[in-house]
Amino acid sequence: MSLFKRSVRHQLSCREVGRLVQRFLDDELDDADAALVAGHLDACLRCGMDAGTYRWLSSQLSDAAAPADPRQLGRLRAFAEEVASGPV
Amino acid sequence: MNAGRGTGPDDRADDAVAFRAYVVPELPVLLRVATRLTGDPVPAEDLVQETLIRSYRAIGRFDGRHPRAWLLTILRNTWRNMNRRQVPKLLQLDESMGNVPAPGADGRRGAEEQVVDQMLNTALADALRALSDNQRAVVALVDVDGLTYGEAAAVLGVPVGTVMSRLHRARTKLRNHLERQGHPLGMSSR
Repeated sequence: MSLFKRSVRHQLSCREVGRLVQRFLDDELDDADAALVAGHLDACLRCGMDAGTYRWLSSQLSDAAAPADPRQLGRLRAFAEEVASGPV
Repeated sequence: MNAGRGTGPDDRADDAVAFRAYVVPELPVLLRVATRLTGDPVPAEDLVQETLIRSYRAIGRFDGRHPRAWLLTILRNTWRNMNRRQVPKLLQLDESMGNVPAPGADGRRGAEEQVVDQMLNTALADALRALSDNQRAVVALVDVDGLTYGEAAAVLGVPVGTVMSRLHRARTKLRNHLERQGHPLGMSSR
């Protein structure tokens, strides 16, 4: 359901975009709202830079994800196969 | 939805197919989140095993939508049942968070860039430490582990709106902290 039920609304203010930009970057807005935010970010230097900052911060954090222990994963896959194959 | 579903050999075969299709691919995420909840790899493995058993038993009732969120709900409920009186260790600062990977891998980064990366590691780790436990938890689940808001909400047992507001505040705080430390956000060599 779109947040913006104002049928003649075509543009968002910087303040509105500021509230929405993180959800936009996280792909958590519906298509209509995402398009409105994207349009604003293309046109507004300041909001575009803010979005860039959050995007950068997010990528730093996702780079920090510790790799899974392959032996642990291997044991769990084997366990999962046992579960799938036999009565539980 | 599954009225008349029995436990005959055909049903068990269907369960096995569904289990391998929906559950097995999510093992890495389950292990990662279980490790956050328990703070320790050994109980994390136990927790995932127990979750696998419970999800196998429940798979006949699963509608096929949002398998990850469904599994994370089972994981969370299993964890709570196993640890009725404990506070989640999820909220501890994971030492790996905030560590930008060593630049040696691609060999193209000079000494100066490595110093910048190291300073960023420290600054980001400091910024994460300055968050509240709840804020750090959502950053861990969404930004580090890559969960959606709904999946993070399932792990934490809170509404999606709560995840959104904590995340918004957390990231704003992180950004402000890094800016105050003088880091050129997004304009470094990365």
